[in-house]
Amino acid sequence: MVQPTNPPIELRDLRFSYRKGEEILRIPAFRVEQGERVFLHGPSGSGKTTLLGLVAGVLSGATGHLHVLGEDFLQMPVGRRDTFRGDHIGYVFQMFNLIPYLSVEDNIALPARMSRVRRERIRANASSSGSVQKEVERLCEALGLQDLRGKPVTELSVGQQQRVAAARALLGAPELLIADEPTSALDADARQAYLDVLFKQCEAQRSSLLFVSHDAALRPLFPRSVSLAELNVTRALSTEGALP
Amino acid sequence: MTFGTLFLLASRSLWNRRFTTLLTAASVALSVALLLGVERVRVGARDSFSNTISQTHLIVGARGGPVQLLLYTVFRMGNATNNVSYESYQKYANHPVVEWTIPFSLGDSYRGFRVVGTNADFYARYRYRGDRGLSFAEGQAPQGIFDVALGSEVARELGHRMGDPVVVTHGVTDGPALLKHDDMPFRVVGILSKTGTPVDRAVYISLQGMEALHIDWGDGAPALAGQRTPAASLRAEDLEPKQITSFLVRLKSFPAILSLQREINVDESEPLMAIIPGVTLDELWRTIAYAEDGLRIVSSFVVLVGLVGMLVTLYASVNERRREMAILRAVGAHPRTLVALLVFESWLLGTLGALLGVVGMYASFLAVRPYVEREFGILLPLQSLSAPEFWLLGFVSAAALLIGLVPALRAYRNSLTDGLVIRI
Repeated sequence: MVQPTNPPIELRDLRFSYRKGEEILRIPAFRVEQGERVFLHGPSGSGKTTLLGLVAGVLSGATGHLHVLGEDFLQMPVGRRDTFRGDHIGYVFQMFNLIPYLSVEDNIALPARMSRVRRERIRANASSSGSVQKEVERLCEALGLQDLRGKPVTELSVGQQQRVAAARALLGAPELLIADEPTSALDADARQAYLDVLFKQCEAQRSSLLFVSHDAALRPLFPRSVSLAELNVTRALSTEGALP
Repeated sequence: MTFGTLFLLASRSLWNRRFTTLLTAASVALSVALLLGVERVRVGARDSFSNTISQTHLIVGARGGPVQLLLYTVFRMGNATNNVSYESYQKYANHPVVEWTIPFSLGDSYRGFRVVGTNADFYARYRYRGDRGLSFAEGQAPQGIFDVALGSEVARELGHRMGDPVVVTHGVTDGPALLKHDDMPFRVVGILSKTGTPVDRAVYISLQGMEALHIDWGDGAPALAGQRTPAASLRAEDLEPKQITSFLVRLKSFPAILSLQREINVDESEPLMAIIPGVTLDELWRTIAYAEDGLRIVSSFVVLVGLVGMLVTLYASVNERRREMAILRAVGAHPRTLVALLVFESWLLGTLGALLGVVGMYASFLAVRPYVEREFGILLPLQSLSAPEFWLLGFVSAAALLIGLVPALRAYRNSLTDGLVIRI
């Protein structure tokens, strides 16, 4: 069981290479606390994709110590990591977040279809009166999507798509939210509004947030920010000149 | 992932690509309809052939090929090379074990239809499709020398009515009539009811009429003008037929068939041959079985081609769907869930195609049925699906499932390398 006291992400001496001898990632220590909102500044080439793949449980083969919500991801079999991700982690992509052939509502409800844990959490939650449908409605309202619910996702603007993606990641209150450059396609105003909503919902659901972006301008909006280039000593050595 | 979710994703995804889905399903459907159709046409053709003649125990004609005798006597296909003398015919018609006979005298045509000289026994005794006999839609059987009865199809196609004149062509030809029996004024006195057999596609006159046509003829050519016997002076008594082409025999008792057949075959007065219609029909089926097998093999391959086309379409779609796969993985799908999804989609598509094929087969049968029955005398069977047909549908469905593994394994490998990286 996931204990509330377990840190959402805790890694020590994590190393990863796709091919022997070509180490992509080497992080001595990194930790995200429960309920924390962390800005991870990661320019391209800093090992961002690899780190996210490991934390989300998609990549295998790392060495060291990687605990996600108290679970030892390096020991857990791949299939269980997939299930675990579906149960406990919400994920927002940079763009193209939505399944094109599902409606806005069906896209948002997808995690509840895939994960029993999330379904049960929704049922147990009084604020959603126990039904997935109601919870989808509530999130739509909270994220300003109420008028778009029946629309085909292909007719949404990029900003709207990203909000739908956030609603999907938040559905069923996963403990950890990972957002991979979710605002990079938005203009400055929309970016600010998007972050406000995201923060508010994370707080309401007590989800921790790992927010990754190459855009250093967002840094002041977060209580804590970390540079991946500094974390990743393998990269730090080779790309010293590119540090901000 | 529950089955409901699998179904939702698979069906929405297929619907989203509905144009491609429909085209792919249609290619499977066409191939399935073709295979089902070929098989049913084959069965229909066999049934129609077998049902053209019934209650006849023996067919007797000049010695030659049994299949040929069957074809020209019953199906009006091909020609006789030799005739049977009227004496022999009468000998067997009056044979103690014989219940009835029907004589046929063939060799002339009328605007592409065969002219059949026969007698009243034909109208009274001929049976097809079990116990169905002939009847007249209009008029009656020919009695006079120049009376003609038309098969229903002849009357329909040529638009003939009662009393219309008919000028018979010498020899069997569809093209221009070189030698016309235009001195013999035949008139339509009856139109037979529809039977759905070759009976509909012939013109019937009396044996005397057939004799009258060829009176004065020698060496296959008509008599010179001025030496012809005027039609008005012909009388039935003078026209005792000298020969006929073949005749049908029904015996009083079934067991006598073989002994009478033997008696006819060894008749020393004339080289004759007696065949049992069912036996010869079987021989005919065996002859054309090669062609049937060939047709069946070709249409089986068409089904395979349809399935391969489906494989190509599905495989091509896998790369376009990488981002969809990454999204599904992000919300907790295992790579093997993606395999299940793609295999299920393939199965749905193949099964949809097979079902559309069944619908298509019935629909096209319904559409062309009247035409095929009219033109070829073949009744296309519309009965519900038989066990082998269900097997075929099951096979297509199972093959679609297996085929789905190919794009699915491709998506599986993609997913392992892509993870949550969205590649477009």
